[in-house]
Amino acid sequence: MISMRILYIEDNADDALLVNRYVRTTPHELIIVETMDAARSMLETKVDLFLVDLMLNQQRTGLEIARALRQSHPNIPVVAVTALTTANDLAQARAAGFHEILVKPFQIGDLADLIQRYTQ
Amino acid sequence: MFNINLSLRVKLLLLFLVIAVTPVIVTGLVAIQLTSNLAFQQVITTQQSKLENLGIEIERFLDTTLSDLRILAGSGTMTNLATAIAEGESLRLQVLRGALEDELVNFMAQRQLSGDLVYDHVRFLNPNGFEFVRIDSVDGAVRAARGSTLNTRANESYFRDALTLEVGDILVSPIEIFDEFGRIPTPYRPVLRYSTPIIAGDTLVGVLITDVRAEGFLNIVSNSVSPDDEVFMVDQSGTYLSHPNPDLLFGEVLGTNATIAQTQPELSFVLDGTNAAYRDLSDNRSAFYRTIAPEGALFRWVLVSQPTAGYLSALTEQTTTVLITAVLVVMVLVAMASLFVSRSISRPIVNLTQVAQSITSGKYDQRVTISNSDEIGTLQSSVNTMAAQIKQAIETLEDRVSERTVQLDAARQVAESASSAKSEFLSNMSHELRTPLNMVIGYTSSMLTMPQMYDYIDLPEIYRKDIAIIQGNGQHLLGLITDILDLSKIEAGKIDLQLQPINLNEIFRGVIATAIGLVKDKPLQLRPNFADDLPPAWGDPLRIRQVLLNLLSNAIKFTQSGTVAVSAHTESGCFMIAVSDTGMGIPQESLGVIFDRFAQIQNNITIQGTGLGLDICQRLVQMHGGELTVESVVGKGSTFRFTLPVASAEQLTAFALPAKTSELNRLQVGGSPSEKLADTQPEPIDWSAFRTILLVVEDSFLRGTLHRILETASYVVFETNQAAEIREFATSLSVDAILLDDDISAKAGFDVLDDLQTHPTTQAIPVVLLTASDNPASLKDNPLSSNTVPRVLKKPFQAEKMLTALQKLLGQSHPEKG
Repeated sequence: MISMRILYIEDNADDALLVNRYVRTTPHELIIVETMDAARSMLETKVDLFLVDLMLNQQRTGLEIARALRQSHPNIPVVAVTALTTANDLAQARAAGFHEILVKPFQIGDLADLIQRYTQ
Repeated sequence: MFNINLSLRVKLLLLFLVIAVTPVIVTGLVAIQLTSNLAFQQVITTQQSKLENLGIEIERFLDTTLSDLRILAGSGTMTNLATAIAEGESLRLQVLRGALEDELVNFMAQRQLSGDLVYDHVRFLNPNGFEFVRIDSVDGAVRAARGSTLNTRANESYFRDALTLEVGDILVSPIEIFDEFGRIPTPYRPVLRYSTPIIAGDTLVGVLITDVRAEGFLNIVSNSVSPDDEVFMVDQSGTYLSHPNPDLLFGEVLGTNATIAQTQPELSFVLDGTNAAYRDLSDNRSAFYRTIAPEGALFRWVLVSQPTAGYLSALTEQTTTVLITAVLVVMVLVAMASLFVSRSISRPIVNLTQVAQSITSGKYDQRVTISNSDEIGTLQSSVNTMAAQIKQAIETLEDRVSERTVQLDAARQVAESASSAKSEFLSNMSHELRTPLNMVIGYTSSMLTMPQMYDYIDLPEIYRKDIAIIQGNGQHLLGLITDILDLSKIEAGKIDLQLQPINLNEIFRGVIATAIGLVKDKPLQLRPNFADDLPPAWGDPLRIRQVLLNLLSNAIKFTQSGTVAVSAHTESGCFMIAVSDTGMGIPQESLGVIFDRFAQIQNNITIQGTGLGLDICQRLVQMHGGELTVESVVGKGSTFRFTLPVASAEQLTAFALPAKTSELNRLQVGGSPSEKLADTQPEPIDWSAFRTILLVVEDSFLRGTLHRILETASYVVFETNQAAEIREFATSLSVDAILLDDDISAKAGFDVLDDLQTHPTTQAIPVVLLTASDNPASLKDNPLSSNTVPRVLKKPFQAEKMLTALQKLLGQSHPEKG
């Protein structure tokens, strides 16, 4: 099994904990940061998958982060993990460059499948 | 009147020409008449004064000669001689005779020197008529006649008639041709003779006679002849005394006998004795005449002048030419003036017309050139004022329109921001409700499905059940949240239908496939009741799917046994679609409010149900132009019906895309099934990962285990334990593969296999046969082709082995995590 380095930008500690609980059981490494600034220092080393919460600190900052990541790391997939589900939100997310969107609430199996898909 | 299409300028020009030229011509004609009359008057005056002057000159000549005679008769020398003769003083007579001769010679020489007045002879005759003294003027020399040259003149009338006269009286003889010597000299010489008696005391002593050359005054007449007229003189008998034609002169004496009565009878009237007159003759000629009657004369002369035939007409012609030239000049001037005036009138009007047309076509800046300050100038400035007002009015209007546009724009922005605020509120509300649910659903699903997260510590069954309840209610809550937001979006007008041709057969298969999963262990049959080749419908495939799924899940939920049927047929251009069940039914009093959850609350009616699903279904059907209706009998079941339009030929040609592709493209990854359906945004996904498996296993434990394993491996799983239903399901659901346990009760697995493989709709579906038999020898005898030979799994088998077998059959990569 290939081990990935996953960078998860999330300000909700509960969500971060749940994802962490699952990824711990996999060979993958999960790094959780709350802000883009914090994420930047993590970008020194290789990252295989970005998980980004859209709503950070009551703002839709996730969209900007996706745009920035798609520019700086065009070959690394960026996946949104969000409870924003209206058509407009999803359209904006796609426009910002997200490869995929994992909608909260999710079954833990959905998360497992998603990570599985990017493992190859 | 005239319908000739002339320009304004030409019309005006013609009008002015007619108005101006007519009086000019009339005036010209009158002027010609007047002028010719004036010219004629002028001719009369000229001719009369000419004749008068001639007459006066002739009379002066006569006066001079008469006065000469009187002076000579009264002179001292003559008186002395007369006295001497009367007293018979013969001694003095010779002396006095010589003195008279000297005096007369001097006199004649003096006259001869002074000009035309030439005396031929001066004679003094004694009472017997003999020439006592005679002075001759011959070839310019004046001398007294002597001796034998003196003759008697006793028989001459000028002598005899003079004898009877008183002292001072003078006899004037008619003009005669000089023939004193018995012959008429050449050239002949007309002569005028005066004679007066000389008396001393009472005694007649003689007669003094002067012979004057008539040429002296006849020349006056002939000299006055001009090219324009003909002047001549006749005596009272009509004999020509002076005439331009010399052959006519002195006709009687010279033998031609020419007289005026003979030669110019039309002019005979001049002899009527009138002093001076003119007469208008026929053929445009006139004659003027003046009578001269010398004092003491026995005759009278008449001066006649007649303008030449061409003179008057030439005069008239000249006048006419001048006048016609004048008229022509005036006409040219009038034409030029007309041209100018018509231009000065028509040009501003043409300009006005052009500007008016420009203004009509929207060029409000066009202005008329103001030519002057007359009425046209007033009209021009009025038009300019009007144009300015129009421009201002339009600008004002444009200002108002743009002002209003700005206002409307502002209002629209307010509305849009209100709408946007509403959208954001819904979005945030959804976010806030879903976030805590993630903990409920995430952790319960972890406990139920991810033992590795709990170090493989088995979850006691007693917990598992409760956690499953939490998980189920979390899902229910999520559904409600989704429904509320969905309804809010419909209410807010935030849902746009993606109308397109829909393949209803595809949709029905999909929803039935999903619904089968809801049947679970209930003895419930899902019955498709529609043709295989329904025509395309016109609608939003996701929304129709949502409606059908909702109706089906309700039907299954409230039906414990029997059938749930999906039926469809076309009726007058519409699909009539129905979902009917044999369930518990709906009480009559609830039917009226079944599609209105809020009305249910108001009327204190409680309907067991899925929340807002039917409300949403009703709205969605209404958005498609239909109505969702329900019929129900408690204890017998319910039927929900709605209509959907059949796609028209135009709609079909407008959409080349097959309905299935676009429908699938819009499905979302992740989230609950209803979440997938609620969202209208397309996102490409790998649909091939979703394969449907029909699980035909008698043993419920094995079936449940396999179901979970297959679902975990991302298969859509349908199951049955009824051998009779296998082929029907496989057909209607278009399953990708069948897992067949050979222990099914009704038929042996191989019989079922045989049945599937001989039927055309199912023979291509791959089958995995689960068997406990060590040697399923009968397979070798199977007559069917090798690619339909089922893969055999010998029980007991590892789940991994089963999944690998399915993957190989379906030609896909391993879907499960490693």
